[in-house]
Amino acid sequence: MAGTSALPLMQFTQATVVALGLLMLVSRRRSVCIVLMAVQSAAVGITALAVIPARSSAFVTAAIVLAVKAVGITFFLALAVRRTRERSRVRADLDPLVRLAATLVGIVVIELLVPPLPFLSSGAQQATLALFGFGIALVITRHATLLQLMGILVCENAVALAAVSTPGGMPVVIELGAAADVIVFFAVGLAFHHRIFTVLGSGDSTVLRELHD
Amino acid sequence: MTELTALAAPLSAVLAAAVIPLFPTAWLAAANRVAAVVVALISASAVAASVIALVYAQPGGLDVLGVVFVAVSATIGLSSAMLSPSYLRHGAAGFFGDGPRWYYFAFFLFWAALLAIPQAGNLGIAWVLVAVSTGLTCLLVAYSGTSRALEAGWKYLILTTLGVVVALLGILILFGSTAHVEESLAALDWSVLNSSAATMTKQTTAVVLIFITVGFAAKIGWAPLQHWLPDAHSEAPAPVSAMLSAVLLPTAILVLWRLDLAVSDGPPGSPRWLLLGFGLLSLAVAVPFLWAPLPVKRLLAYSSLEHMGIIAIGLGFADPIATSGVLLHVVGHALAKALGFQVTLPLLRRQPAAARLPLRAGAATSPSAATGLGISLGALAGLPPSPLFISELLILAGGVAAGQVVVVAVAALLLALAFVGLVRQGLEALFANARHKPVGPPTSTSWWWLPAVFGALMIGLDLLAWFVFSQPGWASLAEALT
Repeated sequence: MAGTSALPLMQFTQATVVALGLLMLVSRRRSVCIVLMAVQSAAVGITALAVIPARSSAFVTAAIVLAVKAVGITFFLALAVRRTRERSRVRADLDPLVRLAATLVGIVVIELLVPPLPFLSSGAQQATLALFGFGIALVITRHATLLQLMGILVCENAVALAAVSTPGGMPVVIELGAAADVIVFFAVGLAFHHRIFTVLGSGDSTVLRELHD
Repeated sequence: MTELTALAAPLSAVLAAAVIPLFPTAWLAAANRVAAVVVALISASAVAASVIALVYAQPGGLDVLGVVFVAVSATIGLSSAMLSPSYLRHGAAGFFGDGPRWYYFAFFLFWAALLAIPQAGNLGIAWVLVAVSTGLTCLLVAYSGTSRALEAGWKYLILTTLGVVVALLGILILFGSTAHVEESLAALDWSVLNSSAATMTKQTTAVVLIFITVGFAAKIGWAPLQHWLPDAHSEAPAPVSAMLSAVLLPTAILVLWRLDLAVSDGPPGSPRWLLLGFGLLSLAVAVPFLWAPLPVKRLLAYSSLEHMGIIAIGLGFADPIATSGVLLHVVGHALAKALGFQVTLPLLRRQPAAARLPLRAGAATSPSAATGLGISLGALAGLPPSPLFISELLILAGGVAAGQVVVVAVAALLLALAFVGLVRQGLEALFANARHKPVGPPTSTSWWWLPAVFGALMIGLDLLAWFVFSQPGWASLAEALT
């Protein structure tokens, strides 16, 4: 089994990815967020690789998927930032510290409401829920379309973190399905981002406010 | 053999998606129609074979839920595919360079997913199909490429994908908690979950159900997660709106239905409070908008919110009578809603302003389309002989039988308000004075087939329901689905 040898690595990864998620939430620049997310995906992927000898082959799939995510998605996001330079920075409504405080409150509430899960260590569970919370907060509080995309990718990283921390991992088919979902979502999301930028001149989602009753 | 025929339905749609874009432009419409008929015929034969297997208690084929949902998907998919060339001839195609090819590619893949989800015997596979179909439908929603369509598509993409990821976390928790029983994808088979879920603690079961239900609620558009629904359903091409409202939303509910059957640890007949909560809230949120003067497609979209709420309430009662009502409601709603969206094609062509303003003088604008809209709105309001009148009565009766009198009273009041609102909107849309003169030539008489066919199907559904529900074996079957 994974045993105690991978435990320090797991704990380090959990702390690292949560810290990276927090930094993404308060970061002002899209390019910085891209780098942070790449490091986050790589951290989870490296951890998956490290526990492979003691776990099922599903972790090989997980590791490959995360590696592709870390490299491939980062590349295309960076390309998108280059091709869709904003005339002025897309500002969020809330100050970084305010959104961080609100997010932390939300995360604490979720952590208190979700009971301990039998197959996850408390550290893994807390890290997963915290990272999920950061991902949701990115989607809700940031206006830049690319950052909203990244928020969902952070949520997917949270699920990947939980899967890597689970003794049996996730079935290979689900890993592949989740990977397909990421690819389709990301490809479509990028297409939308480019189209929105072309039609409306900005990747600021606040310009998308025509529809209402 | 029956299973292979059932699988052939979505596979034929995938093949169509791959092949149709290869045709020359002049042949695309014809290729689409031929492919649609083939897919529908294969689906129909799978449904027929499965019904025979069910009646004679033979193994194999689709179960009852699979039969109903594949039949709905095949019927609505066929009609939407048949009308798609009409939309494409007149609609804008701003998102893609070669619009129609991309449209047919995405449409048939979307249809394939809708045919496959009811057949998925595994929660994980069902999730994958729902997740991957989200991206395709976003492209279809934003097909016209206008700023409004982009907004609708973006909201749909972000909010529903977020929901899908939340559901994935719930599935992971479920897998992690039950994988000691079966450590592979089979751990998520509905049949395996039935027994392995009993090994979970009450708290873990609650967490699983909450995550997956909330996640799918975003996909279904239940309140308070409905913000994308009116935008996406109103800005999408009409044939796609029909598929979204009539098929996709109930199919997503089907996944929750199967999960509830497999995992729910309450004693038989105990209410599903989460479903009741989403249902009542959706009804309550929809009602004010059914009274407001809205563009016709937005009105139909809010009607979808109302009816998905009714379905949630029906499932939440966990009573066989209500369950029978839910099945009838799924089919009746699909027919009525698809008709409503599809007749907006000729109506909006003659009154383009009605895409942004409430429709007026529909009857004078296009008698055939207006007849269709009148039948649709009347059926959706629950006017007899609409099958939705019967289904809503069954659902409420099931609620009374389950002892949920307060919920029934609140739901009945909201349904009555929705009825009045929708009827009022329908009368104004059809008979109030026009704001502008219609544009273009009068609508051709070829649109009469829509209200004729869908009206006949709804009457046929009433008769079929009466026949099926009166069979001696139906009560035990409904019990098994509750």
